[in-house]
Amino acid sequence: MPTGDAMGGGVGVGGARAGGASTGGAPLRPFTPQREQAAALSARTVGRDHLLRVLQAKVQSAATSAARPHVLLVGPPGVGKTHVVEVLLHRASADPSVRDRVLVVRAPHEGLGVTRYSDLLAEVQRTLDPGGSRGAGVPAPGEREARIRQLVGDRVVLLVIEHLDRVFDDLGTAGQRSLRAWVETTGQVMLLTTTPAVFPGIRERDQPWFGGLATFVLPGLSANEAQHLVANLAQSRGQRDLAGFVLSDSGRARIRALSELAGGSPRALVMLAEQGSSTALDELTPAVANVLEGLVPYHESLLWALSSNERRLVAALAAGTGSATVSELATSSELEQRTAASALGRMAAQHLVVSEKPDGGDRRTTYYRLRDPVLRQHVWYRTRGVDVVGLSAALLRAHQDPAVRQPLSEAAHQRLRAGDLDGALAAAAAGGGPDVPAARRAHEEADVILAAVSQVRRGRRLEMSRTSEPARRLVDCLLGAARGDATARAALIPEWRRLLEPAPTRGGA
Amino acid sequence: MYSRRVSNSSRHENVRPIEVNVGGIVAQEDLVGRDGEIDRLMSLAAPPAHGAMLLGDRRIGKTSLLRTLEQPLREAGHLVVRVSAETSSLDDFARALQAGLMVEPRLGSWGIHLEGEAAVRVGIAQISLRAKAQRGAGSREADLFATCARAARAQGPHHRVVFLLDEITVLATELAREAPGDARDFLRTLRRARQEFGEVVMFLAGSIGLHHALPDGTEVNDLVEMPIDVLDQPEAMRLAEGLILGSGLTVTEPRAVAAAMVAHTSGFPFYLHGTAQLLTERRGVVDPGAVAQEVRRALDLDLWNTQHYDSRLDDYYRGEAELVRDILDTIATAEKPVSADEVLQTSAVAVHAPTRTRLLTLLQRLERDHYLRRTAQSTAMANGFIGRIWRHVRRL
Repeated sequence: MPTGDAMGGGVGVGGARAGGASTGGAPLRPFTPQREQAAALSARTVGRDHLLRVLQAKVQSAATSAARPHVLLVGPPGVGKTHVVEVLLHRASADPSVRDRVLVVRAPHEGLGVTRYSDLLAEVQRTLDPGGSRGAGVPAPGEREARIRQLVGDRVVLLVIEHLDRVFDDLGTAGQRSLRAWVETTGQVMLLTTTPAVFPGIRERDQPWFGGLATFVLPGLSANEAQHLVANLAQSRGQRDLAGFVLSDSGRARIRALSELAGGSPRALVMLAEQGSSTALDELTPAVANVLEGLVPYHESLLWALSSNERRLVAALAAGTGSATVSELATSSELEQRTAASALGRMAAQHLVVSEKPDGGDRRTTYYRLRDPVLRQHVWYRTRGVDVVGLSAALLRAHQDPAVRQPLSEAAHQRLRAGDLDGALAAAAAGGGPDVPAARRAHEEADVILAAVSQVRRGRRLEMSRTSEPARRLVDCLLGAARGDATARAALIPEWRRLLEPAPTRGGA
Repeated sequence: MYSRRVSNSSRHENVRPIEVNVGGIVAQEDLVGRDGEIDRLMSLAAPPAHGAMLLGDRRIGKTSLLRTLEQPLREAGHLVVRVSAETSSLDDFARALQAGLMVEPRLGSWGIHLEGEAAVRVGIAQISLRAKAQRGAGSREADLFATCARAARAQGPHHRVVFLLDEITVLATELAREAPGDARDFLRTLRRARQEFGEVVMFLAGSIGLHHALPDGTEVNDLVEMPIDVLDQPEAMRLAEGLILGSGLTVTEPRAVAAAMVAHTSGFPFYLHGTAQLLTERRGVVDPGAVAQEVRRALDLDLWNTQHYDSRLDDYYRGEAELVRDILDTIATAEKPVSADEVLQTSAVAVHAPTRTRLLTLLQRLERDHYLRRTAQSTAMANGFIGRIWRHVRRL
């Protein structure tokens, strides 16, 4: 057995623990998957098979040749980077040639205690030689490198560094160069790293690690993958009711809606399985509220770490139509344009916002949006409560489920007249009614509207050029209502009625 | 002649899978081509040569070449010390050098000569080994290169100690930033070792031209300049076909897809690996059109930071950056290599009114910065891919 955290050994370095695949009653850990049983993580993994095969081949080549194919996994918080790392280490350890040759060393999560290159070396040395002698004084980096070299021998260190962006920030250029020089000179180290987004330290050509890491972007899960994940989790945890519902047509539609709200975030889906029931999932709004409630501490700590100006901008981005220019955001957050631009630059560096150029048109304009769609939902949830979250959930529920959209007609009108907003939205989305052509038009319009709202949900800018005037007005009202605008909210029902009126009285498309 | 050539030749018939490895350390068996460069470097490790200065764009494959050179050098009986000098200070370099020394088993005895554990000390004017004596008090200090030369002599009359100092230009640039004379003095120290000890050979490499840190380069003018370029067509094809096999891509026609990969990257190994990785992330069957799409996407999204070819000019050329851009615009859009006089006559360049001598100086610097390539009396972009990058960045 190699020294240190040999693959599959999981020796006391904070890694996922080896063990059986059954989750049983063990708590799920959506924020710290490395604390779960590695086999259970592996068993419930969906949508990452190809990536894991590619990564396994890289670890294997490091174990069996002089190749050191360093890896960087990129994806927003909650997309499953740590999960992939843990499953990779678990699966790779099944290969004896890897198990006997590769020593896993993990830099502490959140970079605790690692702010200099010498800290990183100390961590490697501590892991490889936990009972090593503690001489007087702090060893110089050269001494540590020499000792590590002895400990490793002809094997390979797989150095896992999460939040590489922050660790590199702390190391500075000199520390990054030292790390590179050590890795290149000894040839004993392969890096397995993660970051929320590509950052200048690896993207820019004059940086020591430019082009030094093969980058793999982790997308959110597709609706099918999300359905399988929740079903797998429900089954492994004995939640038969939930598992059965998730696999039904309605369950699939609800998961699709939830997945869209959460940007395909596996973390949100794991929380759904942890807290959800088939009833809550069917209604969707309670399920979304449960997930958001569970994420409150995470989002709150994230928001409190921001400056007051940055928080104003988060609020403005959440309240707006998805993406906005610096000038628009400065106006809506009542900040000087220069202050807003500077804060947005910092937020982009922290991967809180994404800056984008429009696909067509004026490429000089830059739009900003919140990177994490769940953060947007959180802001709505905290500022407007379940009501607004329910609005978006109801829209998506209707959008994703043909069964809800099919026959509606009178029901929709009745609900609208009764002021039942959620019910009316769901019903109106389905169109239909005695006037078939009008119903078909309404149905088509509803599709456009729901697609538009879905765009907003994903933080995209609205494209409404093909939408009729009543539909555009309705979307404005929906967005206004979401922002808490009472006038817009009051106008919602009349606008829905207008949209459903026969064609001659409607505005041109 | 280096024996790897035999195995490479056999691969013409049977393409071997090569793992996609973007920017990591490449296994020796996965390094394609470069046999000519290795043969040339081997000859430069023998008297009367002192070594060479490897020049080439970042990610062209200099580090992989130096790493691969280790084996034939050792097989020839030489001692080898390979060090990444991508460091910010002499202390950091000393540490890297010490680690490099420890890898060469036949230099493991240098501690014994000094009767104790030794540490490397690097100063502007001297590189030494300092050891604390195991028996008795006090410590001793000896010149590192004298010690290494002695160790090489002990191996036999024709054996030499070869220092492979990668990214030496990063350290030189950092030293020059602190004090302009320090980089020069440090490189003179290395040169003195080469001249004083016939057993000491150095192969230096760096992507940043030394001309950015040193005014005239006399500190390295005893070394043969050796440009490292893109792979030639057959080698690039072999790499591309190997990558297709190694990445498990499903392709319409392997040779056509490989040819497209080579055509779109001009056989630049890093971008061949990069393109292969982008292709693995696609779903479905890959055809030559998909290669074109992925390379275009990489340029559009600046996945390879190719924008830097433009943005760094302000730092490199300062007040003349705009003139340099116009020169590059002219050459990148010309249908064939152009002469200096033709460049001088274009309206975009003429408006800056450079003298012919000044233009020639800039063209030479652009060659050293890996933008341009001179053929006889004409100049062209360094390769097709650099030309494409420039046209893309400048929207030409």
